[in-house]
Amino acid sequence: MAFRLESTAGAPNGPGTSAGSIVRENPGELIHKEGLRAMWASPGDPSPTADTSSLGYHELQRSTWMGSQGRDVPQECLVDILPPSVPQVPTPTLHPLQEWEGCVTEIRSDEFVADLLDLTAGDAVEAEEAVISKDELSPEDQARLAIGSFFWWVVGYEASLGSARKHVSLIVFPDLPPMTQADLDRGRDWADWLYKRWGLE
Amino acid sequence: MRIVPEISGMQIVLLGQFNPAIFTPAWFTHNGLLRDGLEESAQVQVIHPQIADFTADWLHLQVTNQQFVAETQQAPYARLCELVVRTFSKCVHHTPLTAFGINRNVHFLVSDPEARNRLEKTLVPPEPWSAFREGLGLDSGHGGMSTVQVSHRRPEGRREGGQISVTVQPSALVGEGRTGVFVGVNDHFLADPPEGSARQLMSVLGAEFGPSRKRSDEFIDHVMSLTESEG
Repeated sequence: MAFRLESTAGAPNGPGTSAGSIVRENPGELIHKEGLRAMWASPGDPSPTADTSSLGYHELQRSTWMGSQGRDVPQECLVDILPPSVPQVPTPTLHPLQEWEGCVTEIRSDEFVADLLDLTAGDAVEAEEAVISKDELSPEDQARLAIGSFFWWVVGYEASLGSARKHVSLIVFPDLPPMTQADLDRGRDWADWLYKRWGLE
Repeated sequence: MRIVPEISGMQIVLLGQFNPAIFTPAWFTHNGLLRDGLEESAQVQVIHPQIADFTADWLHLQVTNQQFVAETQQAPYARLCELVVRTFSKCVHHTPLTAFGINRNVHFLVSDPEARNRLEKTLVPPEPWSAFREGLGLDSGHGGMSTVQVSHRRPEGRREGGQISVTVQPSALVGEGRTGVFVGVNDHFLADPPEGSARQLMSVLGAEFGPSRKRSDEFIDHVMSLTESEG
């Protein structure tokens, strides 16, 4: 298996930001030097357990910091899956200005009522109520509408690089698997635990 | 945030031991973690015993033997957390996990190059480098701040090794090298005990995601404020 090292340190925007500097071999082949272990580790960034108060890192440990802008590819272990991953900006950004978590409390013919928890404010309890038109929902989500179901509501800006920014409102019902007996058992155990803890026996 | 970012997203990164080959779009839909039908429109880059990499609607997922990265640029960000928590507390809860990170990344534009210069000079004052102004190109406009990283290495209530890091750089993606700023926040948590149960670590992730995201947005807003002129 062949590999070739090619530094990205001189790339215009720093290590790993130049897709053109990625090494390629036969399409689909894994180019492998030190193994995939260090694939996305970024040696330029302080390791979480590194003792930076001393003169060096005495304990290197893998980080959950994914490098700066795009994936930093370590120069000493340049590994690539071909072609280079997804584009750097794979999808439009939907930047939230306001986010709520909602719980459906009532369903009417053309609208539904929900208690809202303000996630932007970091609220701990639902303090708002909203009446929302069913037209706000995708047909798929309309089928998910039920008393007690929860959803996220985002108001924000959607933008792609080079295109106009759009003000959008989006309601998303989560993709939840069907309730299982194990889920019900866990819920019952939790309720029993609370019941005892509060001395309600 | 006082400036609406051009690019805005979140990542959840898990460290541990993973079997990348199982993480396919079809596996997620089969387990009810992603919506039915998404597997057909997903863009699969590679599924291999050593790496899985695909994009499905709002989600980009990349898994190697040691790292699981889920990321999105589309709010609601809570669904990213929900996906990861459900995956590792319900479906593959025997996975040995050692750490997780909650990363918040934004690229934003400032009004003009002077505003970015103001930010750079605030974060990295040129005076200590005055002897090297020419050598570093500080006067010619070809030199200046590349990366500033500020870290809290002992956040309260976290196992030693937990860390909060804020990174500021000129943006490589927006502003044509003159008016773009990148801010990334890494909120790093270690499992306690090491390689503890996935369910336990996921309960921490579920509890910490919201506060972490709020804290990160405050850091980012603060950096944005440094681009504003005093007048």
